[in-house]
Amino acid sequence: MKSLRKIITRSILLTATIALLLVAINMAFATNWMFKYSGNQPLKYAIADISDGLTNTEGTYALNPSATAMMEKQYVWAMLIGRDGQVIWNKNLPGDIPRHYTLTDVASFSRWYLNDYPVSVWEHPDGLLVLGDPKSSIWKYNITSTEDTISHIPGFLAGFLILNVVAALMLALFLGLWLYHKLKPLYDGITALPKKEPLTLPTSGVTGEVARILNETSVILLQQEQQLAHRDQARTEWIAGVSHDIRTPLSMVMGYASELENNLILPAAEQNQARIIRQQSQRIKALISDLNLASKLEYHAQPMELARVSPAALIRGVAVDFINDGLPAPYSLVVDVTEEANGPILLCDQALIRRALTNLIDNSIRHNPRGCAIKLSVIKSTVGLAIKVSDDGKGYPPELIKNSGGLDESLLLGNHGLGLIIVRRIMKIHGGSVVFENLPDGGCTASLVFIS
Amino acid sequence: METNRIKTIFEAKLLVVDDEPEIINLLKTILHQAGFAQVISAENCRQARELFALEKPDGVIFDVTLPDGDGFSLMQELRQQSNVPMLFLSARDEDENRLLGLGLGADDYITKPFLPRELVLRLSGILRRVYQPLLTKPPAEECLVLGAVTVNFKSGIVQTSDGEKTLTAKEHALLKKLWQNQGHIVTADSLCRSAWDDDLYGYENTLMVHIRRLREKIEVDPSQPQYLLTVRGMGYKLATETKP
Repeated sequence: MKSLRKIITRSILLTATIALLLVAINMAFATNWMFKYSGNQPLKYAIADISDGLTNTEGTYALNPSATAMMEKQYVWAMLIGRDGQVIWNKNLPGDIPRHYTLTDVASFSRWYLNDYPVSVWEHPDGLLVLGDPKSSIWKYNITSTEDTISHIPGFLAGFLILNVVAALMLALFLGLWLYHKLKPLYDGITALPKKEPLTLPTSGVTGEVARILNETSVILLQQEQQLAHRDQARTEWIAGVSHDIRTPLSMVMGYASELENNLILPAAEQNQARIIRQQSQRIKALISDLNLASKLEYHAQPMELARVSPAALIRGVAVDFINDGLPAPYSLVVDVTEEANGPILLCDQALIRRALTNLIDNSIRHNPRGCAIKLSVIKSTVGLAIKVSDDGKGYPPELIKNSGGLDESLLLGNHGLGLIIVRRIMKIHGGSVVFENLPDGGCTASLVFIS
Repeated sequence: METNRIKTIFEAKLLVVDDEPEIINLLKTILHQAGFAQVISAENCRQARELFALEKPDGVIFDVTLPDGDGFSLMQELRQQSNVPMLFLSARDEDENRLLGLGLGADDYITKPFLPRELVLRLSGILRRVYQPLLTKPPAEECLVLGAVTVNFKSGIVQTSDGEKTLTAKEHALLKKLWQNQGHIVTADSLCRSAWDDDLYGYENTLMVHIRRLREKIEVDPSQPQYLLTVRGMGYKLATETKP
């Protein structure tokens, strides 16, 4: 949910920024435009200059050269209307322009147009100077406004700006909420995908297509999950079936070999051979059992019976079983625990953890034929708890240590049979891990790490 | 139970139920050699029911997978009619979980492949437990002799050269547990379960106090115990003989 909220917040902020930026750009543009085109001040002066340049010398009007240049630059034609309404001077005056004007005519064209020519007028000592622009080149409009209105313009502009800002923010918020509303089902759907449940998101509206794809994806994922589970189950059952079938003939091998081993009529050599057959059958039995357990652990077919137990009691039990079963002389086994570890602080399947510890101790014994001192201990840490099996023997092969994290199981298998694989898988289904380390002073430690 | 006719466990009539004739032969060989004279067999549930009703065996060994049903249901069915010892021979590891989980009332289970000696030992053990009380008289006195000290578990009295001392109930329970496992280490946890029927947590000091009092009663020099030994980090052990 946090990430969706983040996306929406960012989106609101972004939209608001864009809207405000647009307002700012528009205002800058408008201001610039107003300054650049609205006043047309130089023109005013130009008209005055042109007017000044038109002089009467002994009854003849003439436009001096500089004024002529100015006029030709901006206007098409010019005329001077005398006080009687008669045109008394003109320059380039088109034929369709009248030569006589009444007061009404003057009032009209000074405000609007003269025969569609936009015109500017200026007071001349001898009358009225009229300058004509080309047709359709200038838009003329008279604005009348009360003083009151004009005086309110600054406040008006400020209000306009505030309204813009508020509108932009509201829009951004609305857009954000709308987006949130639309995206939330999709977000929920995507978060629900890993739970491997079929999704039924509504497929109407803007996000309908995406929702439909998500729904289909969830079905596909579910099917794959079922297929995988089915395959895992088939594999586990296959291994269980094979091991079941091997056990019956193996019962015969083991049973009769054992009988021959104890048959006093047989020579000692034959009895010894029978003993070897019996021992190897027992090894096969252990291997089958390991294979079965390893497969069940891997494919989650092993039922877990979780209970809160005392880790100290657990390791004492394992150690005492080893010692009472007759631990050979070159080996020693000690338990090192604090009183705290007597408490029921470990949630685990007791039988499986006993199995893991037994495998680790067996491993220490098998790889140190000359004997070693084995120590079992419990360490409490901030993340949880670790049960350690240490020995002062020859240690683990370096490649096993190196790959301790993402350990390749073939490596475990290569060196140690199924024993360590079972340990690893037992820890995996407990949500923990097993860490193999060699100690600087010789020997090694395997830690069963439980995360609480 | 019609068990009065049995004089020794080897007179017990045993019914073996397994669909593999080879296994039946093996079992018959093993059991005959062990001294069991009467072994009858059935290859499926139907035969087993008939023979059980007809022959009234004194013990049954079942396979779990049978052609016309499974051994668990068959056993439950026969258990309703009789209390004779019943033992499972199973070829699947998961059967162990079912047996433990369901509490079917089977007396024991053995996984295939099995060692003949193991089968005979377990079977004899069960038969003896069920029939022995009728066959032989229980040992008159439950006594533990530790050098000059004799512990009578029946009366809870410790006889020493200094005179008699009485064991408290807890001391009695602790010493009896140690005695049953004499020569072996008993964890502090199982001692605690025997005496207080609880986990060790919280009883650590209490247990130590009781062991010290026990030593005062059975050891010549309680600070240098000869019999009731501490196994550091694990528990205690009742030594079989004094250290030289």
